[in-house]
Amino acid sequence: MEIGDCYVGWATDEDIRTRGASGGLVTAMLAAALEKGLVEAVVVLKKLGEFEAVPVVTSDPEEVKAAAGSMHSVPIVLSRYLEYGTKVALPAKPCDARSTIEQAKRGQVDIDTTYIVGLNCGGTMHPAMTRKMLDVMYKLDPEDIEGEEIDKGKLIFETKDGEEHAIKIDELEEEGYGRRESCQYCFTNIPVMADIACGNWGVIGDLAGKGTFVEINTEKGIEILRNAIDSGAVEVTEADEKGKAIRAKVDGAMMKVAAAANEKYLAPIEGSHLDYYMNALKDCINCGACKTVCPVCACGEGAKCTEYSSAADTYKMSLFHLVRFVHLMDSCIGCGQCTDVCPADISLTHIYQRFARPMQDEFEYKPGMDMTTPPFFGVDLLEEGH
Amino acid sequence: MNETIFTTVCPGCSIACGMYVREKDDGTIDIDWRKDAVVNAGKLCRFGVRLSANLKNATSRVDGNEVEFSDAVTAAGKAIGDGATFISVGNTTCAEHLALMKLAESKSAIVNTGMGAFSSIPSECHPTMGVGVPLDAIENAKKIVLFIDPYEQYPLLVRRILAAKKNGATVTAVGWKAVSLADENKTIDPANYESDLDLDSDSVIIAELNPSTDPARVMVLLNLAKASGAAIMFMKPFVNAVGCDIASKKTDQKSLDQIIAEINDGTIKTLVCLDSDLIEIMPDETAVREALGKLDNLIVITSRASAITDVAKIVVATEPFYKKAGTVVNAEGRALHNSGESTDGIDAIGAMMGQPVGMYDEIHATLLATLGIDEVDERVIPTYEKPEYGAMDANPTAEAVETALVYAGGPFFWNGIVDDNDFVEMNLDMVTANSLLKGIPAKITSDKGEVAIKYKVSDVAPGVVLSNMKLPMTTGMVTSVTVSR
Amino acid sequence: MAEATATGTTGEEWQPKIVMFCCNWCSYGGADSAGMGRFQQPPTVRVIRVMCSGRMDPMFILNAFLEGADGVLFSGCHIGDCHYVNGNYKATIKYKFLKAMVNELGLEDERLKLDWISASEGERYAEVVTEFTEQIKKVGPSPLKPEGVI
Repeated sequence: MEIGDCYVGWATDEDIRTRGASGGLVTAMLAAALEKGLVEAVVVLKKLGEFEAVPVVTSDPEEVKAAAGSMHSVPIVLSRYLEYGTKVALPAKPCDARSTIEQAKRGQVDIDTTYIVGLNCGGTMHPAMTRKMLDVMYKLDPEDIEGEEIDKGKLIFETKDGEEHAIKIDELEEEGYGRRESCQYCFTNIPVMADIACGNWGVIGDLAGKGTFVEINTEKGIEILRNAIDSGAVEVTEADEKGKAIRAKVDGAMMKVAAAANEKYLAPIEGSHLDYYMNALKDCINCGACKTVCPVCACGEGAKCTEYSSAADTYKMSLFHLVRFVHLMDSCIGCGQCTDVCPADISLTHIYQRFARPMQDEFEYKPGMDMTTPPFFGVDLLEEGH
Repeated sequence: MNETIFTTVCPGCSIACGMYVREKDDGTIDIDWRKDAVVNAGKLCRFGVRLSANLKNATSRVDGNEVEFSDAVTAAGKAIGDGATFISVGNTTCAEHLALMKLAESKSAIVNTGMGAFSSIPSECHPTMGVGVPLDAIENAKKIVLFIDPYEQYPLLVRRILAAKKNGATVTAVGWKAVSLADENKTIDPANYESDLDLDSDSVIIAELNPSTDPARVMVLLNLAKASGAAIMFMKPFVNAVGCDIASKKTDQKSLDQIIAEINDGTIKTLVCLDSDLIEIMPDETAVREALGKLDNLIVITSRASAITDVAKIVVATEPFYKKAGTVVNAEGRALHNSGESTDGIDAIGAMMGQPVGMYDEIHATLLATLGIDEVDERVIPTYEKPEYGAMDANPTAEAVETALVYAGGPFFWNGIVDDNDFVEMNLDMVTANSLLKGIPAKITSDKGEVAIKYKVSDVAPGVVLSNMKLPMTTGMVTSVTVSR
Repeated sequence: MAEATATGTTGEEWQPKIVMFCCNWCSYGGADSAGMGRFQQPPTVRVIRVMCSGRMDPMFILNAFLEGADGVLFSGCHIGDCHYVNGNYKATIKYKFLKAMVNELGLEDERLKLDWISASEGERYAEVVTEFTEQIKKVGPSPLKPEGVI
């Protein structure tokens, strides 16, 4: 087994195989890591309602097996849940993986003891929005929903009576529903930065729907998959070229959609930028939630943005926001958490991305993709030999 | 290494935002955002965000010495005799409040919720004063009149009002400070509310009702709502103030001021406070401390360490709010259930009247019956009867002072917490008239004393010094002061 | 509004307020030399000494604008002459970020400037200050200036 290898795998346990998505490989692999002592803890996405899952730390393999993934889960800020150095495995959408790597750079997470099991992601949805969308667009009672999936550009909800209800995602997003805005313009669908990238894209033929496509990205990726195979929890077969090509094609199609969303949402500001930003931030109630959830913020309580900023300031803009703008120019991964938690409904991710995109493009630096430090200091000084 | 996740609500105010509390094996807690919550879609204000940092658990004490929980319960049981006075303003679940009502009943007493306005306003108005309108209805209103500052007092209303504006609503604010989301900020004489505001049945009035609210003001607003057909919503500073009001029998309740007066004249000797810190809630802190010192028995049943737990004779420290089994009713009248299953607090109150453990189920059934529902469902608001009421004669007394320190009253204020509220606000004219300098604290002087405090220049009414933090030199929600450098 | 304030009601010409950060080893010495050499310069600059231009925190500059500065200059030793080897090089990287940030924010490009002034360049110091002041006079008072600040 080598870095770069691709497989299609599934859980050997029948219960996990049928219950989990795409053959239950990820669930079985995480449970095996815990059972065999490869890790002390696993982060699972505990479903606390049909539309919401929250990350929970557990050392109980049974709890890992019982948990099912959910497309409504929020990005994981690992350092909020775990002590530094804990041997842990976590399932991670690309933004989860990127946030974990950014935290590792800042000494919040030990990357050597963290096994990131990446999951393909085409976007997530906010639970409150999902309920409203079901009511307005699908004319369904949210309580009647039993499952959901995305197929051929359509978002399909299955109701308890077994009926399927499909609407085109484009149509939903045109009406302001569908995926989170930040997901719509996200370019990272396959978690190439994770130790191992898993998903159902590229699983074809008889295995379609019953297997998970796996790409090994690092030594740790080899370790965690080998551990699962050796303990008999999963079986794999080598992926064929056609599968790989289909996976790349799906990714490419998603990229195109994201590019269109970029045009739509991040089009240049017309008129005064200052008025635009002052207006966007005028209802800020100084709660600090955007910083608390920010996966690339590692300053904690004594942060510059909060320590030197006060509700007592008589400024036209808050220093808190201005410091965060600079801070996020090189490190914002666009996970969308800040927008999600903003009590004044400010599209913060959107604003941060406006500052970050041009700078990240200029330095050709994409945060969270590997352990390379941000351009703010390291990169340039090293390159120029200073 | 395991975590327990509690689904609960933020105890900061009567909006009762849904949230998760994550508790680790070692007992440390952190909050998390419950995005599926119907009230707030997971969003929290600063109070909620900083809950784990700001809230301290209480410890059981008797005569200042730390004791076991059960010993404190026994001591409290002995000390609470006939003639005791009970207060619960609504900082805990309906179940605990109902348990306290049972205890009070067994001592031929009632539980006071501290909202003085209720006892001076006809009872047919009480349902309207209690339950407001659904938060969704605010979003669909055509016109909104704010007698509160949503940014400071009820921050989670901000997004609702902004949504309403997107839907075409106009917003008028009548208050001490101009709020930026309002289309117009006005100062109106209460006598002219009706003519100046021009409301109709598509309008929503949002005001506040707290223990210090002048009943005449409430009556004026009720009159306004009645005359115009507008819906009215009284926000309250306590998470379960509405639930406690509904649970309480409509007996003659005393206002907090009356209770303090009766302590001072020696009528009240024993006071039992359930999650109600009078030192924090009442504006004149020194007067309250003095009065509490005259009691034979001050018994505090609470989950939270606060000013009153330091002076109480007996402290019965119950489990933190998020762990409690039970329900709260928020300002919309929505019943919200905690996922916690602990009944320690209820059982402790039961034990004080010799009841065996296990009162919860019976009490919870009583609550469901009162609300007329079979089970608590956060997505369905129970139906409430709001009887018609007649117009009332009311002349709110205008505070005729030249310069006044006024309490704005947000969650940090009502919980006695200093966070980012350690400053006062005044307008530029007042700053220049008193030659205040940037970076140098302003001196605020009343008859009672003086403080030097940071100030901020804001668009507040002339003569007003607005504070969201309790200051030691105040005598009421409005105190006459002078400002100097 | 910029024009109205620029001429002022009293008829006097509006003088901008400029915050200038000088490094201890070069630029602050440059300011000294400018004084000793009696080079003419406008009275618009408030100098804040920092040990090195590399010490410049983006927050200092943002704070200066929020407090009402119409322009911010920061200055250090010429590249290669840094007392701390590469502090001024670090400053250039920060400057790049800040410049991009301030531009995106919508403040005029002219309001922020980084320049190198050595301890012996008194005349150059005066030139830089004069030139920058003229530049700020053209763009007028900062839109971030708080109400009540003159």
